[in-house]
Amino acid sequence: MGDAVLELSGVTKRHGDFLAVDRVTFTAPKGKILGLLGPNGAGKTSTLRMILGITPPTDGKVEVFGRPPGRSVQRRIGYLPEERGLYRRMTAFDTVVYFAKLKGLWGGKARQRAHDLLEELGLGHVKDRKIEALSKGMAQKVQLITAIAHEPELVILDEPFSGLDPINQNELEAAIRRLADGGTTVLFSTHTMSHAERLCDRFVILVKGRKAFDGTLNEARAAIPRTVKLESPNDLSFLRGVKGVTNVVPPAEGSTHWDIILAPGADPQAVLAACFEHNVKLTLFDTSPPTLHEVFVTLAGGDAGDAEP
Amino acid sequence: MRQVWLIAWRGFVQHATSRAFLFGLLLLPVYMLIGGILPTASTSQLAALGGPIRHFAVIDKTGVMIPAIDAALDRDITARGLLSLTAYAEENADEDRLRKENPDLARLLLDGDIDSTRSIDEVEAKGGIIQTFVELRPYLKPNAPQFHEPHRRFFRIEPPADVATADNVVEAASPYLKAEKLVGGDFGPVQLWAVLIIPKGFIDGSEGAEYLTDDTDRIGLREFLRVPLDNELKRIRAGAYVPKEAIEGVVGAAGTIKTTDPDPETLGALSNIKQFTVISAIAVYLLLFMAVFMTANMVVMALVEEKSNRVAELLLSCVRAETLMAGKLFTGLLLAILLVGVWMISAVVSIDVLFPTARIIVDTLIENVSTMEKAAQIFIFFALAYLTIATFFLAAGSAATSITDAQAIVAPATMITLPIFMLPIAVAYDPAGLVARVASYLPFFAPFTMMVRSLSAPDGIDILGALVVSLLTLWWMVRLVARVFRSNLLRPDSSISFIAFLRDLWRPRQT
Repeated sequence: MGDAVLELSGVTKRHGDFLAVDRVTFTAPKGKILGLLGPNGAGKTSTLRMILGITPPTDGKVEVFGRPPGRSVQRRIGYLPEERGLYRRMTAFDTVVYFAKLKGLWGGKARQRAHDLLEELGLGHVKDRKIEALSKGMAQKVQLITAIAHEPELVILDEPFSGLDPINQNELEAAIRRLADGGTTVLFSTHTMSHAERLCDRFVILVKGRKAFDGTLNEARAAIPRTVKLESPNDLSFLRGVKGVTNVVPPAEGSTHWDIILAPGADPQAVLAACFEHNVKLTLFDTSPPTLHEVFVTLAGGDAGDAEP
Repeated sequence: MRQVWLIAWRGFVQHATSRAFLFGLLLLPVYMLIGGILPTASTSQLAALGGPIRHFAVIDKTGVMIPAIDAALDRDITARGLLSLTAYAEENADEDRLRKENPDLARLLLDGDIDSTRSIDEVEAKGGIIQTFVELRPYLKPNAPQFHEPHRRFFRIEPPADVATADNVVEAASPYLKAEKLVGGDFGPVQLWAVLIIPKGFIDGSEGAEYLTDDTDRIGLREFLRVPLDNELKRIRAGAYVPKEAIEGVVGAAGTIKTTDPDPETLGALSNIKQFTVISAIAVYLLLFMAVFMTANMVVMALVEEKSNRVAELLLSCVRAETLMAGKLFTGLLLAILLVGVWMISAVVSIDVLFPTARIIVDTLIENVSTMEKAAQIFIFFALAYLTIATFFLAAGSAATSITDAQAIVAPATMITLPIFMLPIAVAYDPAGLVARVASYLPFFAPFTMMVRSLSAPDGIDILGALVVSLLTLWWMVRLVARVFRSNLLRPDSSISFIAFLRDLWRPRQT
């Protein structure tokens, strides 16, 4: 297992006739942030639940800290579920203390951690307020604190940014970075690519329960054909004949740029040279690497409809 | 175990401090005080428990004697009421004003012959003792105490079916007269004090009546019954134009009641002790039953709420499903103990302060659970009974995603468990009988039955047997239910029907 905190080998999960996760294999290196990406219904939550030991896999093997999920490793994991749920009539402070105790902290330490984390995330002034009296963003922060109060080595966050306003999203991003800086391994699922792109060291992309990609951002970019974006008043169909160009996609409706798809290893400068040779006027020549969203859309194909850039 | 305790204690604090729970907690004692349950009992049976109350049955083969006996019983209460009311009037009435403003009533209560038939007739003509008291009330001195109408001494009840139809009535009546078996009275189980057998030949004097009792020393009832029998016999003979001298002669022979003790070896019936034991056992059982039912429902509803607001998933990331289930079960147990404690204390204080005449029930109860061993026995079976039922309810609750769905599943589940709750009430009448002993070894029934039997003196082997059966049943239930609980808990979006829930018990769906 090396320095991997988490290892999944050929993990499959069936719910009756429905195949939620299909032979997924990946690892999460220690102290890194791993993004689990995929459209809705891709099997992200099912995968996370198997890692947590909440549900067993139908087939395959899950190992957390070198052991099967369950009681022996439960206290080393923190979890923020996708569907937020807290006791509405408990105060923020009591909520954090309660879950910290359930995760093994003793009274004094649990209270100290609750106090420190609530202050750190700007909730010190509402710590004695009941959850039902907090804003959604505040409640979500409280829930994050419950996931990390017991100082877990692995933190699993299921769609942590959903429902948060941009300010709270930035604060949450910063909190996740601080965790990773402190040596905690973070695994989070999302279908918002911008957060993943900024935060993650590695990505696993699931599509219809299957792993479509596993690697770094650069590896992700390299995994899909490179695209050059061109804007021109002229017809660029002639570029199909240029060496290294595999496809030329005219501007889609509502768009003004042509996508010139290159074969792996092909030089974008060959496209530029061909344009000069044909006296084509270019208003845009963009060879930027693909964004994660583009990688995701390419890999997920028609299933990426709900993904956010 | 620490996690179980954390979950249990959090749930306990949440519920125990909720207004709804406090409302339920305090409502029963309030009902006890103002709802009329105890006052009703107090003025009738409970008040009489400490006195020589006698329940008797008559097997009248002549078909004409019972109305005479009933009429005599009514006149007896009027006569005794008149005795009390005259004594009360002498002490508390403004004599001058009464004589001046209501001379007829003054003559009846202050100067009349309280034993005379005429005085009793006069009271009955007024509508009874209470009506007579109402007439007296305007003439009472200021701050006169409340008037208490004396209770009935004798109650005629129908003979038990097995006695009424028996060829050998003496033998059939014996267990009832020895208080080994109780019969149903107006307010609960009672001991049959005596059986009066009036044969057909009693009318013509060819056969004598027979009075069966296990206590031949206390003959008040027998002598009381002799009077209406003699009078009715005289009336019948007079109607048949038998000369007066002949009537007197016949009564002397036929009206003699033979007294029989079916089992002279025993020391006599144990007064009303057994009766009190049964009443207290049923009262305690009903309180425990209400606590079990109320808290099991509360825990189920809390679970459904946790499932619908997704706290359940967060909890399952911290603890195993079995730990969560155990925590929920112990939440309910703590609540049930609190409920029973408050209700019991309320009942004891209420009786002690407001209804002292019913203290004998409390005394009997305390006497029955006075040892630590006995108290522990009751507590263990109460806890086992609660855990068995709550486990089943919890599984039903885990299958629901909303309160409405939960009710649709829990309601039929409640109906299924109803016989388990009801049987012990029957057991209370005869806690050492065959039904009680068999029920002590039946899965599910065992802990409930022993809750009731523990208030008497069950055999050690029965206690041990019931304990083993109860523990095995609970172990099996927990194993069965934990699978359903785990598989259902993570299905927040799909409810299942009650039938599907039962099917799941045997073959849980995969999570």
